[in-house]
Amino acid sequence: MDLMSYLIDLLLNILPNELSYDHRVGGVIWGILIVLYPFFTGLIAGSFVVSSLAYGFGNKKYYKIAGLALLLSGALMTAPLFPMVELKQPERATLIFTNPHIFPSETYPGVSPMAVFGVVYLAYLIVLAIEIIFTFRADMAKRYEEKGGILNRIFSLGMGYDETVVKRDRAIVKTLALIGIPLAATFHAYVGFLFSSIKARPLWIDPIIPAHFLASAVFSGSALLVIAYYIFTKLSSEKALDVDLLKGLGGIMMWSLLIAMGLELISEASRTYYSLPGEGMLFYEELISEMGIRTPYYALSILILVLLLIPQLRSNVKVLMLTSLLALVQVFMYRWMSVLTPQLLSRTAMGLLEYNIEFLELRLSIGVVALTFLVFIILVWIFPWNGRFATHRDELEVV
Amino acid sequence: MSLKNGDNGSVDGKRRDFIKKASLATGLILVGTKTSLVRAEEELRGKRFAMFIDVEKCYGCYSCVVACAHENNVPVGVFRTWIERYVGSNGKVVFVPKQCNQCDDPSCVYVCPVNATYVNEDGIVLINDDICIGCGACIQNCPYGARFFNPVKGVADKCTFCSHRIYQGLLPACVEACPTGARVFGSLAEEDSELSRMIKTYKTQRLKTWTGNEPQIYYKDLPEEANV
Repeated sequence: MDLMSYLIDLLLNILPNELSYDHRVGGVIWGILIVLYPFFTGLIAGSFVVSSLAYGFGNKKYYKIAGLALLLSGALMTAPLFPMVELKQPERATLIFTNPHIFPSETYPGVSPMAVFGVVYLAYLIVLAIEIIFTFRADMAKRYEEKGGILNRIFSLGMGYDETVVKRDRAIVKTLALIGIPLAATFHAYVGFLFSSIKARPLWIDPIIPAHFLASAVFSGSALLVIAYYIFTKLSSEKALDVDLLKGLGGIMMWSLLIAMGLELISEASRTYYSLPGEGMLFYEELISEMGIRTPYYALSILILVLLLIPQLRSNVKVLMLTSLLALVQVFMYRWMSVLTPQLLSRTAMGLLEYNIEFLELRLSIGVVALTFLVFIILVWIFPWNGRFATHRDELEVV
Repeated sequence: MSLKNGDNGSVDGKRRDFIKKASLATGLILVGTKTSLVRAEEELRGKRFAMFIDVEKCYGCYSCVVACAHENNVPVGVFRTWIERYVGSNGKVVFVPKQCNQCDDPSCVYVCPVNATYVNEDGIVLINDDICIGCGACIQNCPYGARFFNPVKGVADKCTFCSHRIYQGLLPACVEACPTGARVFGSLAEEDSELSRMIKTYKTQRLKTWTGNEPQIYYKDLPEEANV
């Protein structure tokens, strides 16, 4: 194919409506806000899994950050605001809860993965809220006894912190932590399923997406916890970092990255074999190289993997901090690739679209991220993340 | 007819009984087949409106595109129907009109989270503008690129087969405007409609059948490369 006919193909072989969906030049329907959405739900699921390792499975190493992980998970529950502000009619967003398309009928065939969101989100939000309250209840009771304060009194639920009550609290938290794992996993995996259910986009037809999303969720969640733990310990009076804990988190990161990369290699390998309609594969290769993101993404992944695989580097706090920061960038790049790239291939599989970030999208993204920070600060202000009972530093036996 | 037979003792009685049972079973199977045939016909949704497009007759005048935009207030830059132009290896130019395929198994309806888009009693896929939240899932999942955001209404939009016209006994605007009669609109449920006759007479093709959407626009002489 000579250059001229190639360029003509590139420019003309797209459907007329694809050129100006929503009058957004380029033709991408879901932009950066929908990239940030799975990024955030991944962090929710990842940090919740780490907290459940402590509260659910009694892994003593992680008690120190389990409370912090829960608060992070709680603050990140603002994630659905990303797709909400992307809606053309955001004021109707509640219809997802009140009028969900989950019961197939003659008039409304099929079940919408997006509607399942409402059910899973509400269930997970309730479990998470109750778990947070019962995790910090004893600490709040102690605080109320020492300092008073209306918030401390409310969240102590009017009870004290003697042994029997704390034991009962821990039993409740354990149950919720175990129930929460499948809920958090579903909440995140459904986002992957949402993409892989769009059969009109050949590059999204990939059953590995939900599993890959989960693996990279645990990876990014534990990376975020390393960063949060580092910052919070330096800010607190304690100052000394628990190297054992950081080593453990590094191990989780390493294994989840290995699983994620393994799944990705399977996906890439099978994609090079199955043929896209038309000249799709050719355009796919062109698309990937043109975006210029795949090479840096793999380079970064290999660098992180090396940093995690060498035990001396993994146990070095500063290196682990750097690795965690890089890990967040790597996962964001993966989300970018998995959400935007498939939309850039035209439905004709013979032409390419393009994506230009709009200023409004950027402002909305920054707004939601800022709101998440605000919610997190409020949560940390209300609940003592390193409280004596929440981190199981009391003499009580672990239930 | 009764299955019970008093004379079960003798061989004759048993044989008669067997013949009776066998004939009853055969009858039941036949009736069952008949019912399933009837059911297969009944599976057509109501009148099951569809369209036949003769690609050979289209010469790309865009009358249908203009008529549609005029009839349905379609804003500039988006299209409920459009015409694609293909040049064959022998230099022959072919025009292919395209629009929503009003699929029998529409993937766009599957993914709508709020029941805003639906299939009506005659098989037309429609959108309820008062419910649509504008998430774009249906636009993503239409294999034909027939859906778009209406920048004026702020909701998803697509061809409705001019449902406001056809239930008044009129033809869709594009069909009425076509000067060559390349588009034929009608009901598949009516055996003697022009549409049914055309589909029975000519060999027809449909777009992207691999999606399993069961599109209901039947093309005659569709070039292979236009099947995208």
